[in-house]
This record gives sequence, C-alpha cells and structure tokens, in this order.
Amino acid sequence: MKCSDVKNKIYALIDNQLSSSEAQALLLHINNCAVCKKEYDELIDIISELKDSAQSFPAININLEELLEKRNLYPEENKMKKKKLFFNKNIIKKVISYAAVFFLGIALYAAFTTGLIPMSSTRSVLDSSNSTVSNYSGSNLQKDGSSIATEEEQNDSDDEIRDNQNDMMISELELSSDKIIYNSNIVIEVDDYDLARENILNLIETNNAFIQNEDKNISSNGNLDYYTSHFIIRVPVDNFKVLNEKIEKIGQVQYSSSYATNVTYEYNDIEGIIAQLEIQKNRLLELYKQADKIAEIIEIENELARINTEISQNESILKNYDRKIEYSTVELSISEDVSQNSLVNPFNDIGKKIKSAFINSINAFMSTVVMLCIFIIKILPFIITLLIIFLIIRIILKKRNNKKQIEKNGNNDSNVK
Amino acid sequence: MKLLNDKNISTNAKKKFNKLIEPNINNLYKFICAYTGDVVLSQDLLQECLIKAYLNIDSLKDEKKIKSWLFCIATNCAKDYFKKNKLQFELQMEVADEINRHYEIEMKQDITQFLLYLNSDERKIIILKDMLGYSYCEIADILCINESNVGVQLYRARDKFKEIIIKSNYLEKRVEL
Repeated sequence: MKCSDVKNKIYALIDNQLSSSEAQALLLHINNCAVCKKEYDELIDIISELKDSAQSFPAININLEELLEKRNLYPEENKMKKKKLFFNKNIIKKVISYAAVFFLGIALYAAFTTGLIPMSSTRSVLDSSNSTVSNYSGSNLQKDGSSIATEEEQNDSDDEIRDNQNDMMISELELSSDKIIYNSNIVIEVDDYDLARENILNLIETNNAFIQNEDKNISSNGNLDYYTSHFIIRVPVDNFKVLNEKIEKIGQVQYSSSYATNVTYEYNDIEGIIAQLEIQKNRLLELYKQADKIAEIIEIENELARINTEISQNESILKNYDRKIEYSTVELSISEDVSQNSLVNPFNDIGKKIKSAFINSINAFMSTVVMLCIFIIKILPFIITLLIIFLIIRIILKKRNNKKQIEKNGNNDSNVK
Repeated sequence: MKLLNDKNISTNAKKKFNKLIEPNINNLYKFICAYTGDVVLSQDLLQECLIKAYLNIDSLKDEKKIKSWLFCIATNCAKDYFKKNKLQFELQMEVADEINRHYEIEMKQDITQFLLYLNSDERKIIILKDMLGYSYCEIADILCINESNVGVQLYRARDKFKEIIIKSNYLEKRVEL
C-alpha cells in the first residue's frame, strides 16, 4: 500500500466508511509510516477539536414568544398588521379622494369663470319677479272672469281698491293745476313679441311720445328662448293716461303702477330764490353805477358774477322740472309668453349646440390645466420647505434610532459578558 | 429546551414548530455560530431564522426536509445580513473581537475561527459533518446533493481546512498554551 492511497482514503477511514479489512490494512500502513502517521494524528486532532468546539458555544438566550409578541408576529397579530396595512391603503385612498375633490373644485371654478356653466342669476331674478307679479295677475284674471280660490279674492279686491285710490289721487292732483310729475310702471306679457313691439312703437308715434331707452334681451327657460324688452318712454302729460290704457291692452298685464310726484313747493321755492336773486342783482347794479373806487367796482363785479351763476343754476333746475312735468315717464317691460307656444323640438340645432358645448368644455379644460399649473407653481415654495422640514425630521429620527440601537447593542454586549 | 410554551399552543403553526423545529434548534444555533464565527451575531441571526421559520412553517410541505429547509434559511439569513449590513458587520466584528479577547483566557483561540477562511459551501459541509456529527446520508439530504458527492466535497473541504490549520500553526500554539 502506498502513501498516496492512504491520503485518498484517510477521510473515509476517519468517517468509518471503509470495510473492516480495508481499515485494518490502512491502519497497519499508518502505524508503520511516520509521514502518514503524523498526518492521521493531525486530522484526528483537528476533527476532534471541531467536535469539542461545537459544545463550547454559549447557551442560547432567546425568548421566542416574547420576541414574536414584540414584533407582532403572532398569526393573530399578523392579521392585525395586515389590517393596519389595509388601513394605510385606506388612508392613501382617502388622500387621493380628497385630492380629486379638490381638483374637481378647481375645475368647476374654472368652468364657472370661463362660462361653460352659465350663471343662473338672471333666470332666478326673472323667476322671482314672476312670483311677485303673480298676485297682480290674479286680479286681472278675476277681471277676465276666471275662477279663483276664495282666499285670494280678498287680496284681489284690496288691490282693486288701491288701484282706484291711485286713480282718484291722480285726478285730484290734475284738477289743481300744480306742478306734478307723472310716472308709471307696467309689466306685460305678450304672445307675439314682434307684433307687440310694433304696436307699442305705433302707440308712441301717435301719442307724440319718444323712447328714452330700450333694452332687448334673450332669456331661456329650458329649451325655449324668449325675448324680454325694457322701454323707458317719455310722453306728453296730456297723452299719459291714454298711452297707459292702450299699452295695457296690448298684452296681459302682470303689474302696473302709476304715481305722481308733486313738486309745486320745490318749484315755488326755487322761483322765490330766483326773484330774491334778481332783486339783489338790481341793487348791486345801482351800487355799481355809484361806485368810484376801483376796489369797490371789482368787489361788486365779483358779487354780480356769483349771483348770475346762481340764477342760471336755479333756472336750469326749473327747466328740468318743466321738462319732467311736460313729459311723463312710462317704464314698460314686455316679455314673450313662451308657455303658450307649441312644443319646441329639443333637437333643433343639435349639431350647433354640441359644437358649442364641446368648444366650451375644451376651453374649460384648458383653463383648468393652466390654473392647475399656476396653482402648483404657486404652492411650490411651500412644498419645498415642507419637504426640507420633513427630511430634517427624518434624519433626526434616524439618528435617534441609531443611538437607541447602539445603546441596545451595548446592553446586549454587557449581558453576554 | 422549549421556546414556545405548551400552554399557549393554540395554532397549528405552534404545534408544528414544537414538533419539527424545536429538536433542531441547538444544531441550528451551533451551525450559525460556526458559520458566522460570531457568537453575539448568531443569537440575532438565530432569532431571525426562527421567526422566519415560524411564520413560513405552513409553506413546508415535506416534513422530512425540515433540516434542509432550516439550514437553508439559516445560511440565507446570514448571507442577507452580510449583504445588508456590510459596514455594521465590520463594526460588529470588532465588537466580537473585543469580546473574544475577554474570552481568550477561557476559550483560547477557537478553531472555528479558521472556518471563516473557507468558502460558504466548504464551511457548511465541515460544520455539518465534523461539528454537528451528521451522517453522509443526512448531509446529502440537507444540502440536496448526492451522497457520493458529499464524500468528494467533504474531502476537498477538509484538505483545505487542514492546510489552513497547519499554516497557522494552531496546533503548536495550542500545545504551548
């Protein structure tokens, strides 16, 4: 047997993997060969040393239950942890939904400001005016002989009495040839706007009246578009009553009122002031003729100029009164009664409507994007500062944790010692 | 040694743990100690390893492979630890050295320190065979290799280890002490 054979089989020998005859042969050689003997002894030594060292490790110092509890790793608590995670997901969802609502708000705001969604203020005003008018229309309906609930009758009769009083007051005032300004306010509803407008223009012409102001609006009620118009008409006093009566015949009266302002006292006062000023002026003129010194003349001239301007001012006020007295004011609102018209096809101009809606929405979208960009840039400084603060806090916390861990490690070391 | 009380046994996982893992804990601990060469660190790694084993015990289908499974977890834990905490590991090695210096009088220079000069596979097989005293058959199961292959690998590993020991004059020093 050679030494190389021994080297190949020596581990097998140590591990008792050889048959007894082979092992005996090997051992025989090892005992006789100094080199192999030394190698064998060394190997035995190393392996036994390894085996011994396996026993020399310090005892296990682990409390697994406590550990599992600490780390929340019990199956039950595991579920809890998962729940916690789920909760976190919920928080994320919440945050996302809040953000969505926020951006939606911005989008809506943008849409409002760009006019995608029409501000409904005009229509609401119109509605409210309709509601206030309804009482008056009730009275008219009664006049027409339509049936009305008895509760409303009382109100209506009151209205009639008030109207009569109005008329009486006006006639009384007329009798006493005082300075009186007449005004009236009429709201009527017509079936055909264009026809009504033509009639009104004719009436104005025949009564020597003129239009001071005319507004024309297109309003919409659902799918139905209708016209409303507001006139301010000036009419000679003599034709005032006639015109009012004729206008009220054009359509259904929703509301009408007439009132007179007596300005006699003011008028007389101003006339008195002018007379006073005239007297003063005459006296000054006499003084002016007698005056010798230049200083006096200048003073009198200044005074004269002041009085002249005062006189002309008051006279212009009188003229204004005259004009108002001569020409009464009639405020007239007419609106088309669309409810009586036949059905309007909602599919009319659908292409046009779609196009305008699409363009509007695109405009709104663009403006929203722009607003968002602006907003993000606006809050960028805040975000940056917040980020910096967050990072600093995180670093501090990390350092603190590290310190704690080092302390823990130190404790562990001392335990081991 | 019982790590989990019988009283609190309420779940399958605990029952399985006590039945399968408990008997192997001592060997597992020794394995990790020898594998990392660091007594302090190996306590932590054993904890980690046991927790992993406990949590994933349901994923073990073949109960016969429990040893293979456990040692696999242990080596992975150790490798992960080295990967993650390269800096911390060095630091802890220093700490361990200090501790070992304190121990030196009792423990001398431990022969297991030289295992660290071997690569992972060689280390593993020597620990399993010479320290934990598993048979060829068991090692073949644990490492998932052929039984004859175990002999070959063991031969190479021991050869290398012997050379290292002889080069370091460990045996002579030991005799002197």
